[in-house]
Amino acid sequence: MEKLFRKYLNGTCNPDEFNEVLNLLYTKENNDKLSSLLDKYWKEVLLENTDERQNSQLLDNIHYRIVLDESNIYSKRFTLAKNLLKIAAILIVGLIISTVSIYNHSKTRIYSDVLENIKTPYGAKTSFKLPDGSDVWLNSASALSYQKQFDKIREVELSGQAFFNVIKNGKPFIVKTRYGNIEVSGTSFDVKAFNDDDFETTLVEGIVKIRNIKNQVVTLKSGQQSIINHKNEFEIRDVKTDLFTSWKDGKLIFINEPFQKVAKQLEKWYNVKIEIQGEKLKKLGYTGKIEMETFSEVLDLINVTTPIKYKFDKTTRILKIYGQ
Amino acid sequence: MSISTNKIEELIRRLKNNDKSALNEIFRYYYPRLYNFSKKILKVEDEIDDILQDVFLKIWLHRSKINNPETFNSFIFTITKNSLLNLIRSNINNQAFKEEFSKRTIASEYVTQNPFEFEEIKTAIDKIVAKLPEKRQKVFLLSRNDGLSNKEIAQKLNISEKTVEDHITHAIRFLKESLSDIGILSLLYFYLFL
Repeated sequence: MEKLFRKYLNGTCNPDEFNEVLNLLYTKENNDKLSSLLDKYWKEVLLENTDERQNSQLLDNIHYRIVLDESNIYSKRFTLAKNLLKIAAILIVGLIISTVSIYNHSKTRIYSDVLENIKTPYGAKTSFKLPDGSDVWLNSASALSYQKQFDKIREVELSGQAFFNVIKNGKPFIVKTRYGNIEVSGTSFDVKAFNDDDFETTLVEGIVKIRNIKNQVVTLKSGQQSIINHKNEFEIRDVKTDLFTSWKDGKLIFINEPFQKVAKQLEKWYNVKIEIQGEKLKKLGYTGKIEMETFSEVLDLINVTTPIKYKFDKTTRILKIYGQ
Repeated sequence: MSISTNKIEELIRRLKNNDKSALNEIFRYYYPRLYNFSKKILKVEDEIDDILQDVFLKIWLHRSKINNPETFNSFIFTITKNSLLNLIRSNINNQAFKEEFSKRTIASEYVTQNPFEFEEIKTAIDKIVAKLPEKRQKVFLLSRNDGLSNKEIAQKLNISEKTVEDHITHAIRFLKESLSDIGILSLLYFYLFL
């Protein structure tokens, strides 16, 4: 048996022996014998000098799955919080949707009757439907406006971040931002157009065309993300889209994200100002998931998983972070 | 280059303290070893990474059950072993898997052109092996009859592993040429799966 097993491992069986190997692998009665042979070989492998093959992408995937698994535990705990948040969101939408203002000039008067404006302050996000039935999730510190007459041209103007689920109805749908426009026909995608960040478009499903202010056009396919940097250059890459769209479900997911970027998201999410001291700390990779937590719970979470010290001033809402 | 018991104890302690960097160190040490182990058993490399991903994930998820270096080692081993065996057994109807698996388990002198009777080939091969020069014959028999690996043969005969490989390569070439000379062309596909 032992010799047969060795020949199996070394790939030197003759056809008869191969059949015996199959017997060994497939017959239940041989289980114990097989296990002990495998166990003996494993112990040998542990003692050998191996080529040190590695696979860092696999390790990243493992951490990603751990984080997803942990989120399942959290969502049970925070169902109550989630419901309260939903109610709050509905109230916020009610408070904020306004046909804005009292303009003096008649010209602008017409526009104000005709324009719909939705704004979210720092620390709040909301979701709603456009007149054509498309869904929008608006992140904190963002604003979206569109003409009430939404039938011939479907055009919205966005500053900040929103996730769109656009209904296909034959008419083009255009998202205008200060960095450029995005044109779609029926699709789901995320747009990030804040003043202090790169212009990011992440496509979950469908096809979109992005036009920057120099009038250069780029077409995105599902699973791709386009970034326009401050020099107005396009960069396209394949991404795990739920890392960039999970915020709409109330989750922030980070995989080895430099802490400075994490801080930027948290600032808008929780309406705080974060000051990070130390260049090393700004670049520290953070992996984790934040869902429905209060800000102090987030601080505890970060404290446990990364080596940082912090001071949070409740009145000014400024968080100062130092490395250890 | 093996890992000390103390180091394993430290890693277990850190794991139970929810320290994810301990998982990274465990990965760094065990991944290459588990990969090579799996490759020798599964023969086909495609799904090894998927299996190993599950192994390390389970180590993390069940870290509360790991108490000492023995349970740790047997935990890693058992999960990997079961995954590998399950994969082999579930691929019973997968032609592509069976082909590659048999090609890598059967010695290459049996893998050539057309289907034929194994007995005839085996007898022919035995006769041809007897004609090999002494040293070469010895190396070849240690591999095919005694089931030793190239490394073990090299150690036993006090020659380099490269020399062993060369001997075997030449022997196989000689075998195949001789087999085609006497008109036996053989490729043996074994679909005698249970």
